Amino acid sequence: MEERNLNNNESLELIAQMIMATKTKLERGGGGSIFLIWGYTTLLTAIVVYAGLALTGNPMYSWIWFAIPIVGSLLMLLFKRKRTKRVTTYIDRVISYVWTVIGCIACLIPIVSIFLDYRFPIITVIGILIMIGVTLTGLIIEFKALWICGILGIALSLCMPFFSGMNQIIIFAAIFVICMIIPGHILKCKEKRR
Amino acid sequence: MNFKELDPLLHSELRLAIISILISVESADFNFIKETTGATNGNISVQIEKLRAADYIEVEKRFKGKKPQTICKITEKGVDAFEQYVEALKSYIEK
Repeated sequence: MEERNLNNNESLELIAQMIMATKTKLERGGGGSIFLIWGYTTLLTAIVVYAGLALTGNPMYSWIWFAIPIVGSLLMLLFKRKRTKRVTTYIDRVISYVWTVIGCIACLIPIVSIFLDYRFPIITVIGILIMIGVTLTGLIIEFKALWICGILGIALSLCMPFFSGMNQIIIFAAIFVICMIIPGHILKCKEKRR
Repeated sequence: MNFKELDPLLHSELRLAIISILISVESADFNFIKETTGATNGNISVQIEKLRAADYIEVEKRFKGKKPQTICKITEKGVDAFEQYVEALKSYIEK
């Protein structure tokens, strides 16, 4: 392609051709890896918390939940530093806003609950919140498996109050396997194929 | 029938290609534009500079690790110019 003037039909053809070429080259922003980072971080944290509580009965093990935002954010920083993103779309920005809001609220809920001594079904509300994020992401990127998993996750989160404290941790971990880790691997496979 | 004037800055193959890429994304880096248009580094640099000088695009140079990265983004003025260009093209085609 060079600097030459076009006739009207050539101009229209070029515009259509470039928009199509851009569309087909678009990367989905490494969404699969991001889901895997948060999914596995949450799963491993839930296992450690469960094991700690089950083996010792010491409630201090619940503080380990705060490892999720710390470890997850560090892994995200490493991931973003490693990856060179060549193109950013408006969809990327919308998804980023959705997760920023959800992430902030998910971090604030336990802090408010602890410091104001406000009894709150933290695990249930965070489960619902994160799964709303999964559903919205699935709908925005038009990835059916993801939004179906998200809705399933919301339903499972709503069932959590019917179980005892320790069993809630198992369900919470299972939700992240079903709704983040499995779709994360599927997304990653799709990205690789593309 | 009145024909609208075609913006001479956009009525060039490579500049129109660059603007058409940037209109469909929020931002794109130099290599993405190069790969999509198939043009040479030098040619793209010159055209990007012309579009930037006309305030049709914003150019941000930064480093990703040790690698330099040039990010291009269409401005509101660029979007308006592109829309007017397409409108003008339509007036010629609908004649």
